[in-house]
Amino acid sequence: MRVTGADWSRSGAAVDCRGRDVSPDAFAAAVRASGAVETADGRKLRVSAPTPGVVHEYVDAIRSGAKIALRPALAAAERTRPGTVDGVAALADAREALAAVEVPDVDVAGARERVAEAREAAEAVQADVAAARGAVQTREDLDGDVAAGRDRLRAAVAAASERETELVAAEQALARARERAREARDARSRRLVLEDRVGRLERDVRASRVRAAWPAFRAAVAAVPGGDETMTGSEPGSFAGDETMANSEPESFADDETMAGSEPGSFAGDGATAALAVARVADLSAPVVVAVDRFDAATDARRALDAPVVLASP
Amino acid sequence: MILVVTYSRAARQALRNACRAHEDAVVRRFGRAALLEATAFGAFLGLRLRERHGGDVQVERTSPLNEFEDAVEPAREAAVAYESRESPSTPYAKFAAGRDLPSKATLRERDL
Repeated sequence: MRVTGADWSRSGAAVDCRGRDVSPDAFAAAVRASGAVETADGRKLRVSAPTPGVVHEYVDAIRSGAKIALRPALAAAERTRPGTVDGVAALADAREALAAVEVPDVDVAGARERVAEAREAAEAVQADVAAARGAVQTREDLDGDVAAGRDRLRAAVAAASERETELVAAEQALARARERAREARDARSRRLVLEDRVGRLERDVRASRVRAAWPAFRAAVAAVPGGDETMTGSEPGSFAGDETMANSEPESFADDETMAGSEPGSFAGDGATAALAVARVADLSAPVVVAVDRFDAATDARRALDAPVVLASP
Repeated sequence: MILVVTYSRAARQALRNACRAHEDAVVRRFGRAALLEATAFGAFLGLRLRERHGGDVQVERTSPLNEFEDAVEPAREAAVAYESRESPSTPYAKFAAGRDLPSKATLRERDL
């Protein structure tokens, strides 16, 4: 990689940028960006390196006191490693089936609106007919001239019949649209079933990935500075949400995304240690910004994380 | 009442949230559907969901079925007679044939 600041630049797989007066976040942003970014004080910063993947959403910049969603982070890390876990093929199949569902586009609202308007118009003209008929009747009773009144009545009756025809046509169109909407809902129901299946399989695969990554994670926690083997149990933890600390209350999620498992989590270390270990477990080609004061030299961090490293001031 | 049926995960979740937030307007909740009070507020809740989620939300207006109305009466009589039949294995078609009851086809064609 190559890191280029306003009036300096460094290159290599382990770059020491401590004391450069650039925040870890700015370095992380520059790693994410394909071009140069502007730092808080308006200077240009550029990191030329491979594009980061999903793991960087969890370990783009490692600071002390930071929290990490350990389970999804470990699942993402496991994806970068060779090998596969159960359920991946089934998940791909389910996603493919989901993508293949076609839902016809049906506009029933337009048809509904047409019926409502036609009905209103038909009812309004009925009043005209009744009034015209009443007027003719009154004239007849008085032996008056009824010619003009009859013309009005004829016109009103003609308008009423026209609007009645429109109402019938609108109702038929609505019935047809409803029929099509019903068929479209069959497709939507199938799609929902598949969406739920994909969701279940995603959870299963994530859990499998966490299980698969756990032994490597335990070893990594013991290997990175600040960590030791007592921080992890042999069982994958049941971390629910953003907490990495053990014994936290499992969080309740409103959606179906509730993390499985109710046994106590088996990681008792701090977030920075977890993030360092996750970075070590993952196979990373994009640089990790390390802003914890645990390494003497950038090369130490690079060795510990087994990844390209930008060492930054906290 | 107002029946709201959802056809996607997002719409289903939005319906759950709406029902949780406005329990007073909810008559009954089912998995991905709910019956709301037949008030303008019930309609407002249903239509808001449809506005946001389009065809993934179906909104219908339901009305109670009065089985003693003329249009429904034959169906009620047929149901009462069939449910008190002596032989449980007799299919309706055969049961109706010997009696003064509407056939299945007649029932199907009769619009309420």
